[in-house]
Parts: sequence; structure tokens; C-alpha cells
Amino acid sequence: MSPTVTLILQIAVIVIAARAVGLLFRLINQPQVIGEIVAGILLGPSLLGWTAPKISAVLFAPSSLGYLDTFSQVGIVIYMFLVGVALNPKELKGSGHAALLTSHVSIIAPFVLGALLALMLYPRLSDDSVSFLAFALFMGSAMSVTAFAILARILTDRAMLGSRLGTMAIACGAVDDITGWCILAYIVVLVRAHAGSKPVWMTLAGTIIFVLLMIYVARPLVRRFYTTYEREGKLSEYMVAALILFVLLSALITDRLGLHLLIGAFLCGAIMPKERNFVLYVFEKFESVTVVLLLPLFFAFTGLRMDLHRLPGRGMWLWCAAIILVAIAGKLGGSMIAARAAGVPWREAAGVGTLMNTRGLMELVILNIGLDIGVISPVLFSLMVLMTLVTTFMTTPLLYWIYPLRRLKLEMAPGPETTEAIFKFMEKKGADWGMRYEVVTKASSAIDEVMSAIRQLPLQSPTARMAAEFDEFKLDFEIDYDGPPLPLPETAPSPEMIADPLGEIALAGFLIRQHADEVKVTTYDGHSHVHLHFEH
Amino acid sequence: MKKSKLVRDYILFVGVPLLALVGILRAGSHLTAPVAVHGDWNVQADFGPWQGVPCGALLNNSQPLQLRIDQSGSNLTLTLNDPQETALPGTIDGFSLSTTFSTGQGGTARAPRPNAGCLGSQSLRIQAAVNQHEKQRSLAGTFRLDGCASCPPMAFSATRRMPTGKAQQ
Repeated sequence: MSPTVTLILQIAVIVIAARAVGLLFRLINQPQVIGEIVAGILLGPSLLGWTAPKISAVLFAPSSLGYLDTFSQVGIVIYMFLVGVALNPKELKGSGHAALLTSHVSIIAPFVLGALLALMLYPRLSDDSVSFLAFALFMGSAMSVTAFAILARILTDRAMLGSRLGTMAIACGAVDDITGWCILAYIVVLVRAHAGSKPVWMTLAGTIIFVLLMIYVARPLVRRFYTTYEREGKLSEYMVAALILFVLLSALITDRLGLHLLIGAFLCGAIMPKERNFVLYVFEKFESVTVVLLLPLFFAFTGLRMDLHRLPGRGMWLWCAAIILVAIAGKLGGSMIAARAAGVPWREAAGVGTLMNTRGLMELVILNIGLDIGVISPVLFSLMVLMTLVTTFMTTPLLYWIYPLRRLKLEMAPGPETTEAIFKFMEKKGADWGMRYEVVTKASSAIDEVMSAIRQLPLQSPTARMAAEFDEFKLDFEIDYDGPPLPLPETAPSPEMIADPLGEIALAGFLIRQHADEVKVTTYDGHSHVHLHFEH
Repeated sequence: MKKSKLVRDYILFVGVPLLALVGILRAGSHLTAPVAVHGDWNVQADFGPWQGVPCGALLNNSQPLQLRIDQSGSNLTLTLNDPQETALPGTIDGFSLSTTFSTGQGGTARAPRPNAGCLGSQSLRIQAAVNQHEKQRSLAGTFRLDGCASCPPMAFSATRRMPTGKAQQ
């Protein structure tokens, strides 16, 4: 098979596996990316290579992995650029002492525990080409990583982004990211200096000059990307090409300085303009290809480097358990205790700890760098990848446990007596679930308007089905009925219009808009669906 | 949050752990880890006398013989020539490396090639000493074929190839 055919086959298999396993994970309320990471591992020697060695040998022959590695590296360079773009230093401002203390403890606690574990792991899983200092610092920084992007995704999925918990977690995640990359840069310099590839002073001096140039020279220049976007509403292909070249050049410079490609890409993203519409535009331009195509290649490449069958002895599983425990105790425990000490209530503090414990893709990036520069061994790499999976996977269920999602379903026939029934029902459920009274009133009024409007529509079936979902942060209603969609005018209908039955329905639609924080009406084949969302 | 409480909490939750970290790094500086032998090695040996005997094909199909060692502490995985064909578990104890390869009962090879020749009760064993010359490490030792009376031990020496691309020291 020609190298091109092999590569296309590899990409096809990886993308299909990533999508399929990702979808399965979505079904169990997990972020898609965790499924994609698992898909990568399944394609490696741990499963495919073990169960179907011949297929694995044809599909992922070691001699054919060079191209795959290169593609995955390009993908991760762009991804790190996007991580840098998403990072907004303004998120750190005004986040208060609680966030400041929690973020610092969320780094130092797992760092110290990781270094402590290194005392036991160094003689067992390292070798004398790595100094204990580099090994311990790497273990510490690998334990203290937070996956900023996955954290933001989980917060968005659960409508927690604007909450105090969400703001605090985002601020802590941003601090963790910046600190983590600084520590990693130092470790890379340390290891490469130990290997004699470049004098430390040269790397340090070069890095300082490069960072200063990026902040004081490149940053005002890249601002032009934003001014062009603001003026024209988009970036021309030449501008996009210039942006890509800038990212690649920055990555290349940090690599030549003796750091790592990814540090340059991250720095490049970090100095980009932070206006929200521009950030979204950059994501739109780069995210699809990166997330759908290139990141799964990186996960697969990570999986190919991980072989659980080569773990020497059952004792290694005990070390694996120790690594997972230390990671959770340091990150989740450390952040939780620090947040509590800063005056955050226990439940919220546990929520912060759980969110900070999400390691995800960032951890994989750091582990791959560690394996590349030889600071961790293949077995330790496999154990740490398992730890990453466990800590990332546990975030969503743990968060649901801390902040349970309450659901109810009921059917009712819209009629004149429904108003009182709705208000009574909402008042009781609101008290049971601990809803704010203001939200109960808003929601009751909105549902009442929906029901009174539906009542006037030509319905095929007299009943409407209602489902509600509530947690600490949001209240959502889904109302289904068999009839035409409700109109949702943005302006109130005139008094003359209201005299007409259709005008009355339009008024109800307008009032629903006023009560709910978000409202959406969809229709399909005679069935209509109203979605009401309330921030809690 | 009062400033004095913040300072107290900082000392407790950040300052004390930082001191502990310094202590850990100091304590760890006295630790020793196993000798590093990971990487790609060129093996020089004359396998002529082993031609036509079990395991001969495995060693004879390329000159110099390519040996790759993956290391995790004192645990090693050695692959000879084609990594898809062989995976030899081994250990390093001090400067002494030993490994056993058997495709017979209780064998450890993954997906062995049918004509590799290592069949039945015969197994390949490698024993070597790690030598340090300035910054360059080398191996000197023997290949043994257990269960083959007519196969004499083969002396070999190996030098580590310089890493290319990724830093695999």
C-alpha cells in the first residue's frame, strides 16, 4: 500500500472511530472529546493491536506513523493557538480573593502531592537520563493541569458560565493554564539543558526577548487583524494566511529556542485581540477542521503510544490507583478546601474542585511533550493517560451529584382552570426544589401565557405535554402540543389587534418573550414545541 | 474576605506547601534511578553459526541487527528488527541487562512470525553489560539459545544510535 493510501485509510478510520465513540459518550452526558480520546486509545495496541494484531500492523505500521504524527502535531499547534485565543486575562480581574487563593492552591496542592509521588515513582519508572528535579517538576505540573476548553464546555452545557461558580472556575482555569505552561517551559529547558542540546542561558535569554517582542511589538501588530475584521466583517484569505503563518512562525521560534512548538502557538493565541466577536470568528475559521479532523489524529497518536498490555506486573495497577488518588486529592481536594477557606459554601467549593479536576486534552498535550523529551517513560505515560481519562470522565457525573438535575413530566388540557393549577403546582415544586420565588413567578406566568395561547389555537389533540428540568443554575421547560406554532412577536401588538383572537395569541407570545430569558418555538409535521429557559 | 485572613490563608495553603515542595526536591536529589538504556541500538555480531537453527532468521534478516529498547524504570521492552514481530521483556539491574524471549510455552512474543524459528521449548536470552565511555553508552554481551545444544552463545556489542527528530535520549 502506498504511503498516501495508508494515510488516507488511517485518517478515515480515526475520524469514524472518534465520531462514533464521541457520540456514545454524548449519550451518557459526557463531553464528545472524552469519547474521542477513548477512541484513540482503542485504536492503539491496548485494544486493536491486542485483539486484531494483523489489522493493526497493516493500518498502523510503525513505518507509516510519521505522517500521522506530523498531521497531529499541526493540529495540536492550531488547537493550542485557539486555547491561547480563548484565554482572556480580563477574566482574572475582579474575580476576588477567593478565586485568587483557590487558583493558586489548585496549582500548588496537586503540584506538591505530584512531587511527593515522584519520590516513589522516580526509582521505579524513570532512569538516570532524567534528573529527579525535572521528573518531580513534571509530575507536579502534570497533576496540576486543568483543561480550560473542556471546563468552559461543561459550564456552557449546564448554563453555569455566568454563575459565581462558573466565573470562579474560569478564572482559576486561566491562572492554571498560564502557570502550567510557564512551569512546563522551564522543565523543557531543564531537560534539554541536561541533554546538552542548548545552553540554558541561551534559551532563557531568547525566551525573555521573544516574549517581550510578542507583547510589545507583535501584539499591537496583530491588533490589525481585529481592526480589519471590524471594518470588513471578515478576514480576507490573505489575512487568514498571514495569521496561520504568524502562528507557525511563533511555534517554530520557540522550538528553535529549545522550548516547544506548542508554547509558541499558545503565546501567539494569548496576545491576539480578545473582543468576543473576533474570538468567535477566529474559532469559526479554525475550529471545525481542527476539532473534527486533526485532534482525533492526535488522540489516535496518543493511543498508539500507550500499551496497557506492557504494564510490567500487576503492581503497576496499584501505582495507577495511587496516581489517580493523588491527582484527585490534590486538584479536587486542594481547590475545594481553598475555596471553602475563602468563604465559599461547601457545595459550591466542591463544585469548583470538581471542575478544576478536569484535565482532558491539556493533560494529554503535556504528557506527549513529556514522553517526547524523555522526562517520563512509556509505562508512566500510559498510567498518566488513564488518570487523565478517569479525572475528566468523573467531572460531569460528580457535578450532577453535587448539583442534581431535577426533572418532571406532566400532561394537561389547556383550559380556563389551568392558570390556578399551574401557579399552585409551580409554587409547590419550586419550594420542593429550592427555586428562587422570582423565578417561580416568571416561569408560572410564562407557562400560563403559553397555555392560554395554545387554548385558542386549532388543536388536533386537547392535551399539551410539559417537561421541566431544574438545577441550581437554570430552569427549562419543554412544552409539546399538536397544533400550529405560537407566534413570538418582538413588539407588543396594538390594542386594535388585541381585539382579534389572533392578536390575543400574539400578545401572549410577546408576554412569553418578556417572562422567559430564552424562548424558542419549533414545528414539525403538525406538532409544535416551545422551549422556555430561565436563568436561576 | 479580610486582608489578614487572606494573608493567613496564603501562608497556610500556599507558603507551607511551597516549603514542603523544596523539602521534597531536596530529599529526591539523593535518589538514584536505573541506568538509561532506552533508544535505538546497532548490534554487531556474527550470527553465521546460527544459520538454519531456530531463531536464526529472527537475527539474520538484517545487518546490523536493529535493537530498540523502551524503558520504564528497571523494566525494559526490547524489539529486534521488526517491532511488529517481537517484544522481549527484560530488566536492568545496576549495569547488567537481561532479557528472555520465547515463543514456546509461556512465550512473550506478540504476533510471532511462523518462520521466525523460535519454536518449541527454545528461547532466546540476551545478557549484556552496560559500559560507559565518556558520554556514550554501549552494550556488550551474549545472545543465548536455551534448548539448542548445537547453538553456541553469540557475543555481541551494541552502540546507541543518535536520536533523530524527537528527543529520545
